[in-house]
Amino acid sequence: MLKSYSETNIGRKRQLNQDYVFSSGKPIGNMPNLFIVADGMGGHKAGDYASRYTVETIEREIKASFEKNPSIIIQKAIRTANKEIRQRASEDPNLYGMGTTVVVATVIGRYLQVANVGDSRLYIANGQEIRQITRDHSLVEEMVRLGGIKREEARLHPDKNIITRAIGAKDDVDIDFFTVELRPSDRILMCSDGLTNMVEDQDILKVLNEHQDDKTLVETARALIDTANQNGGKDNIAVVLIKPFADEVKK
Amino acid sequence: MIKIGMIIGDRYEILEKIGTGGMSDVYKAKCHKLNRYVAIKVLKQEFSENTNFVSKFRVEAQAAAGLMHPNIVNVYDVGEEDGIYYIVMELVEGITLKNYIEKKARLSVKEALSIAIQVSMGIEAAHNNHIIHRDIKPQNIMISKEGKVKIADFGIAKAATSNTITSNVMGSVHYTSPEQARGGFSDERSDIYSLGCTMFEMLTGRVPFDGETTVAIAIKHIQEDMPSPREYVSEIPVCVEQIIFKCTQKSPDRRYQSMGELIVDLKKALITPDEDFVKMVPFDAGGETRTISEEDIAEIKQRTDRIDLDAPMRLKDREVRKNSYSPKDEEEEEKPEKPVRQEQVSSKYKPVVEEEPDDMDEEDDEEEYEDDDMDPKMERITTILAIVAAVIIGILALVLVANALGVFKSSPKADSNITQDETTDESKVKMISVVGMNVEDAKKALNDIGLGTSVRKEESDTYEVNQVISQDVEEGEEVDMHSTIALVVSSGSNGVAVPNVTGQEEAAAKSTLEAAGFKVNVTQSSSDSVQEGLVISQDPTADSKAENGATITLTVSTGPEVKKVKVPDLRGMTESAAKSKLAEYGLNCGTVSETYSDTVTEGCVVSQSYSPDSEVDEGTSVNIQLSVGPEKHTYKYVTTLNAPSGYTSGNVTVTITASDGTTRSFTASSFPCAVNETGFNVSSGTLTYSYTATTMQTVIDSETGEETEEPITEDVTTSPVTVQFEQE
Repeated sequence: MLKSYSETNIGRKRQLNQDYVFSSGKPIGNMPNLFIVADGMGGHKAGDYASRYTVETIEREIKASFEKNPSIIIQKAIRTANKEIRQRASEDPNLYGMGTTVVVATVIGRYLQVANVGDSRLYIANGQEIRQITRDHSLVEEMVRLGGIKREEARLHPDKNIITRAIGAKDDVDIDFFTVELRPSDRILMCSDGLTNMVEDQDILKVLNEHQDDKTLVETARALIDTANQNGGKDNIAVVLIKPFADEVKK
Repeated sequence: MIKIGMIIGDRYEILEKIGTGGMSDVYKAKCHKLNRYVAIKVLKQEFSENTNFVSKFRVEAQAAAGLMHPNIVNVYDVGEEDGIYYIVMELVEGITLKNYIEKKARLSVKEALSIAIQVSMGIEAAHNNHIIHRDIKPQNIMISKEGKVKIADFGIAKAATSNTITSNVMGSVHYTSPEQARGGFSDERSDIYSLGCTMFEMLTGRVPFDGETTVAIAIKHIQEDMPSPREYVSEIPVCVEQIIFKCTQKSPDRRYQSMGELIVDLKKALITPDEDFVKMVPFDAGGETRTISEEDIAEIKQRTDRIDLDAPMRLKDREVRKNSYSPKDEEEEEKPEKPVRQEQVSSKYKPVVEEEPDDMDEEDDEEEYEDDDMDPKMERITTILAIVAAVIIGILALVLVANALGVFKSSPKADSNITQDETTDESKVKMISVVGMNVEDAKKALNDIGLGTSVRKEESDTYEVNQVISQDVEEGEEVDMHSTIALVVSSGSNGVAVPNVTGQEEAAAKSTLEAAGFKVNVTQSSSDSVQEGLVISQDPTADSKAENGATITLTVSTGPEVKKVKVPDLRGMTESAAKSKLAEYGLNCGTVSETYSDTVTEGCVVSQSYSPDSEVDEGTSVNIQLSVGPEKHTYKYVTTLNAPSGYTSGNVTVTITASDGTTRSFTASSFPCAVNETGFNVSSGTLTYSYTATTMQTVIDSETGEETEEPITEDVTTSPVTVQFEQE
């Protein structure tokens, strides 16, 4: 049985929470479950509007879709959200320039289907290792991929906040899709950069390992958020934790 | 929100929006205190909400406010009002260098050099105050209508933000230095790199590196060689191209080390464009000897050629024998202190990168392989580099000591103009300006640089008693040491000129007059043309003379004769309706602020600063508060779930989904199960829980007919029930 827990936290430095999460272990439209993390950006109320509106639009579109292929369902939903965000931003000067990252995930049987735009992340962790599945659409990450700078330099790069793709940035949005086969002991972590900029991957794994028992998804998520806040809490923190095969492991 | 017509800081009236950038909007405004136009840069809301960023922004802006230079857009004031952060700056009417280049396609060599010199002087002034721009580019350089060149955004251009932004709103990376692109340590020399790129664009009309994406351009700055400007425009003198190359070296250590050095070369290029005077730094002090390529070898060859060591020429030849090196090399190589010297080299500046072979990256492997391959040669190369480094450090140390002793510079005041190449004759000194100084201070200042003085007194209206009015040698002229400078010093005046204070505010007028030694008497009068509180007229009139201590009578405006109006009831109206209502009544809308309200719809007026039906002067500003909806509360959900029928034992998983999508889920080991979830942002949600129900079922064995009771377990998930949360 799949278990999940999601929470967002404003962090310690911001006055607004522009992160937004959605999690449903139950079917949404033709999808057996649905998890979304969005990290909004834009002035005043535009950022939280963007993340919330995007998540709601994606949920609504997925609910209404008759498609069978999950990636097509997700792709269409994200494109619609992008179009609507662009539309809203052009109508209301207060929302001008708003945008959001988004990670959408669903577990179908043994497989995890992920879609990503921006620099929020999806990780898969088990006792031994943590793997980042999504690739950040950030300036620094792309420079690493193209060989311009080294991984070590990227970690402390001051321009880490610049992303190269976002919902609402352009009329057309490029989406990355990933399909991953899950192992029974895997846990899935979806999060915004408020977590990953404050807590190193290895430290995330450490926290996850300290909370192995699946009863404690809540505590695990809170421990992650607490760690991020202890390290400075410079940004909003969104965490979705999924244990895809919770009961099977016990037996 | 900033609106046209608003007054901020009690003095700046916002007139029009004149620009917008990634982080801020720029408005033209009028400063009513000093009666001048200014530019006000207002930080965008999304950045003002980030406390980290705001404090950094303020510190940097305050530092920039201490800078005054003709080639810098001066910062007058930094302020904050109702969460709006702003910087008040000199208003420069003109166009950016970017637009100027676009208009002219490309600039002539002379014009480009002259602009580059002015920009350099502005940057130098900032560097002297340890302020680094970090975003020098043609978009940040203004050409005023009078042709003056001014650099904008000192200190604030790159105040780091952690706010997420997309690359399409980010500033240009066409001028960014490799160390900035890498995210490494950036310093004064990063500005020199960016200025080099700017010069390239002035001369060729194109940016040195272009690409489809920000990422692609940034990587070119790190990896690709600077293109030759002469390939695009052949008439560019070689020395100018070399200046650009020297500015844009990948390693900061190989660039000009200060704006002063660059200015010297720029001036030479203007005067003697055909000479070859640009000295390329002949070695790599950054300790970047780890990856060696063919190019590097060629470079090293070139370097060592210069210092007349031919050994590296032979490095390429693997057959070379050790004894073919010059004895000097051998000697040096065996000395144990070699590593120490290398350390010295790299400690001067932070090394840009420390390579650590941590990855199993293919590229890294290759590099390592090359490293190994080159090892025996490398030892020698580093040795040679160490010698060169030691020599250069020695020279540097000498220069530093000489500087400290004042060998190169005659007075600190003249720093920005004196350039090191001007080998001043020992017996000559450069005249300084003492005009406006007290005569005793002036004498001392001149004695300090080896000059004598003679003093003649003269009556003056503009200079105070004992202030220097003029000097017979102009500032900057060279005079023989120990010559006498004739100074004209004020003996004060019989009558004092009455300053013009009409149009000023009463307080300002008073203090001006009092400072000039007058007493002030104020009468009031209404005026349709002169704003309330400003001086309409003065007696005696401006520019006439009056005795010290005489009384000046000011007539101060009480504003136009005012009508009283009744304040309308604005409550419940939308902002725009309230504003038009106020206009209809002849009233102004003052500040608009926001407040929580449980009763008034979001966006509508909750309260007004003058109650309805009260009588106020026409033109009074009425402040209004708009509702932002009910105050946000947090909510909790506390309950105890009792065992449903059919439950016997086993875990219970409870899920509460708040109406904003926040989901909380936990598992209890049995019923009754206590729920205590706090911190919801909304007041309701749904509750669902799942458990294992057990029912007994009779099973009949088909063979024996025996009946047994068997428990049947079934996973039950309750359908979601809407629940109300309690306010915390």
